[in-house]
Amino acid sequence: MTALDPPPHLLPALRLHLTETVGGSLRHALKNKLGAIRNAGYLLRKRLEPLAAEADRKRIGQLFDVLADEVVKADGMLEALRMATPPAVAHADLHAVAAALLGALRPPAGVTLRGPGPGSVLARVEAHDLELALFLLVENAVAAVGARGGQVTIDVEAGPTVLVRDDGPGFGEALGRALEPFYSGRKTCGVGLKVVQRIMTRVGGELRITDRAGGGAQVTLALRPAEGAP
Amino acid sequence: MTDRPCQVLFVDDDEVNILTFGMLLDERGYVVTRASSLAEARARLAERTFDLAVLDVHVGHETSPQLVPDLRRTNPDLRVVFLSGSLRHEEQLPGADLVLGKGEDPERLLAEIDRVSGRTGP
Repeated sequence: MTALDPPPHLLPALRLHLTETVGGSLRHALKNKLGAIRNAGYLLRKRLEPLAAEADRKRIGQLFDVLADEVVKADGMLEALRMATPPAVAHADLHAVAAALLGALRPPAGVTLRGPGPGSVLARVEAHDLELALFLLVENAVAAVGARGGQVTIDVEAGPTVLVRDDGPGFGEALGRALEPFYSGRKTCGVGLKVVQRIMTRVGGELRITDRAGGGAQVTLALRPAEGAP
Repeated sequence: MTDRPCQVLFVDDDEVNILTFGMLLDERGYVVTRASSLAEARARLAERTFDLAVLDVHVGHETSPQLVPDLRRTNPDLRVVFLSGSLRHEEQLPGADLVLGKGEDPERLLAEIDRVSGRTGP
């Protein structure tokens, strides 16, 4: 159950990123395992072959070749499942994206959404990807604030950086697990922050999550400057 | 290039990768210091100077590009190799000298790491 309905214009991007993120998380986990199997096989072969009798050496080599070949095939199958997503090269005005999102949201009673003041900071990111990332963070923050109400703030700094803060209870003990796929502190599928992390990785940025000293949570999107932007 | 063994900081939160990839590097002649979190990596950085860092991209709830400024502060010439299960080679990460895919031919991975570190091979 979501705390905030996504604006209709973000739904296609949301569906695409959710599919990519779930598929990508599984692919990543499986590729990790295949890599470990391949490396272990390589190391074992190096140890075993010199020790084996001549008659056995060929068979040992054949078996390790099968192991490596099958890992390569399985890896290739996973790679074929990767969706073609072009690298982000566009530039977005962080203030404009935050304002567009906040203008499209209808927060529940008792929750105030506050955006950055006037200004213009450009960063290397697709506007619709950033807007989706901010929606997911604001939705998390609204859920954290909960029924008791409170404030969710989007700020922009020259970094270029976007900060989403709330005055809810903070991540607390969930901080260490918040970026695990399918982990959620509420009744959701637990991939929202993973989607944000994926978007940030694609544009060479970073996602940082912390609890604020005075209470509440802070999520930072550290982006790359829009080099050569008009 | 000197005869001094190349000091490598290897960061990965997967204990099986720490074992297997760490062993690949050991057997190639690198002197490997392992860390399973960015906090542990920073602690190791305070203890010695490294020539090369081999970093899994996602470490716990953090991403290892965050570590690059700390790495380069201790040694501006330090080379950085990212290991990724999801990025392609042509995709770039901030501060990377090289991005390698997990699951590739170990000989090729080691040859690429040798090239970046300035070694000529085993």
